[in-house]
Amino acid sequence: MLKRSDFLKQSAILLTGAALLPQDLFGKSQSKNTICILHTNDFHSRFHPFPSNHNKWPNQGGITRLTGLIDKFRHENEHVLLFDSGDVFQGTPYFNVFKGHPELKWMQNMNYDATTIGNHDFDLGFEHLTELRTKYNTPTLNCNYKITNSLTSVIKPYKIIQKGNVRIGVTGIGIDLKGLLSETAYAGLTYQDPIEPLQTTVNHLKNKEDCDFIVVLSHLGYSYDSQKIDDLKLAAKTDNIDVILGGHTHTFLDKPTTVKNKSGKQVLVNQVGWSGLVLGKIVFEV
Amino acid sequence: MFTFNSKELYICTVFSMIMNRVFSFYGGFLALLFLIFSCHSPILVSENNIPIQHTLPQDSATKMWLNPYSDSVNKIMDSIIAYTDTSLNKIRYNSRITQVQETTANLARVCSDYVFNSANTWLKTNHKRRCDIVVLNQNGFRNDISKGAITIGSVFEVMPFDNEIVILKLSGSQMDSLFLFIAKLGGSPVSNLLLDITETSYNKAVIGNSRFDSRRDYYVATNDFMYKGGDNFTMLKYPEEIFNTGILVRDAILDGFKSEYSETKHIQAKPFPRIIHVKTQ
Repeated sequence: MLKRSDFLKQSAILLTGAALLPQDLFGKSQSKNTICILHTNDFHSRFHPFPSNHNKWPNQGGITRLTGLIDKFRHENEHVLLFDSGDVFQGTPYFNVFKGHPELKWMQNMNYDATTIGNHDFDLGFEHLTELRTKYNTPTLNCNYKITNSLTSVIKPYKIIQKGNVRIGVTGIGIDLKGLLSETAYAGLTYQDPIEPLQTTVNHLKNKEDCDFIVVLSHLGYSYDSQKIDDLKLAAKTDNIDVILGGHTHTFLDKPTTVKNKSGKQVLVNQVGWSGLVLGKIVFEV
Repeated sequence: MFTFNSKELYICTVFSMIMNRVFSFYGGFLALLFLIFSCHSPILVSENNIPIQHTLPQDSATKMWLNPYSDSVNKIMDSIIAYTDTSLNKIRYNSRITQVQETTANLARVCSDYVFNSANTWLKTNHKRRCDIVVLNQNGFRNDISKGAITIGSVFEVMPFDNEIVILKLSGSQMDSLFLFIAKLGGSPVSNLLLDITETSYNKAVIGNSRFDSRRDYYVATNDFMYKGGDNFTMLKYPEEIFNTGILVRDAILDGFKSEYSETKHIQAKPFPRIIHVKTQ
């Protein structure tokens, strides 16, 4: 038999608990948000489609069609995120003539939520990179370069984006620039093995910043036969990451690769070739 | 697939404790199970990598924005400097490459020869010496040249980097390290050099018409990127002497196409092999 006093006591506990719970917990699970992630990598100054006599990609690519497609998805979806994984510069005469201005202006027009930097973004030196990324207000993320030069004013370790009631944490990872660039182009920047700084940043986003979803923009490359770190190894050796959007190796994937992370949870790794030939689209319910 | 942050764990614990207190142990247990499955966790809905085909509609505002840029670039780039009867392709050297594949590496070959001509002329004019070989990096070649008209723009796409030709005086042992490194790469774009390589070393190096002599110095033309240690050509970092020509690699290639075309009316890859790869297995 339940005593009246016990019943009151238990009811009180239940009510207090219930008052703590519903808005937060059930509010979240009842109104899930659909998050549409669009992404590019290794644009390499390719504003126009490849020429009609090109042996691999005749008439493919071009920013007029890419823009049209991104706009279409923005109209169709409430919560769209647009990311780039580096190497926007170098590859067509547009870069030689205009020195990277139209590339970053286009990204500004497109409202990119976050980008990371690739080795070719240093092709005209870090000071030029700083100047342009400041001028066009490009959100630039990296957590594994130790920076003591002017780029400190441009590169942030992470960014938190709120879409509906979902908090998305985004960070960036860069490749070891040694051998890829002349050393003067990146003086004042030191590469660190990405696993530890990335895990620290992700843990901060997950536990301290309370993010529901973690995206990593990487310019390491998709996969190497050697011991060299790549996106697949990065996914397997870390925790709490949901998606890795890669670049550098110009890898065309039909769909994202699923990798098991350190605790056996699935991580998606994607890359969409180069030159704006493909747009990546990954939709999540969070 | 289920993860909890600290807030969720706290809520779960409090709720199951309450349910336990009110509805006995099983109530608490059931509540915990219920919570685990109702807690949010990102669910993948769809994944598409969408090719940008020419059938997709164009955004007219972007086209308008791009037009003035295109006009000024086209003015410079569209002028035709030569014609080619075959497409000139870049290839990827690697340790598995065969001699047959090497003979199709005609883009790197044509370009290396043009760089050799420019470097050799410069060295003769300025220092009355002869250039011995050219070594370039395969990653420096960024696009193929399609069959037909060769424009200034297509050469820019092959060699977009503003790298200069530098000429390095290397000792015999530095040359030996260079050849060993090229062997390990499975080859590299070269001119005036025949290198007979295995997967780990080289059997024979012929420079011009003479066997490589490790007791003498050689003049090697390359680009300033490689001289600064780019693509891990570290043996180029400390030459006995360096000459900065001030000639862009791309300009040497442009000049090469122009003058060869005015002489022969078509561009042709030179037939003899540069890199001979001997399979060890």
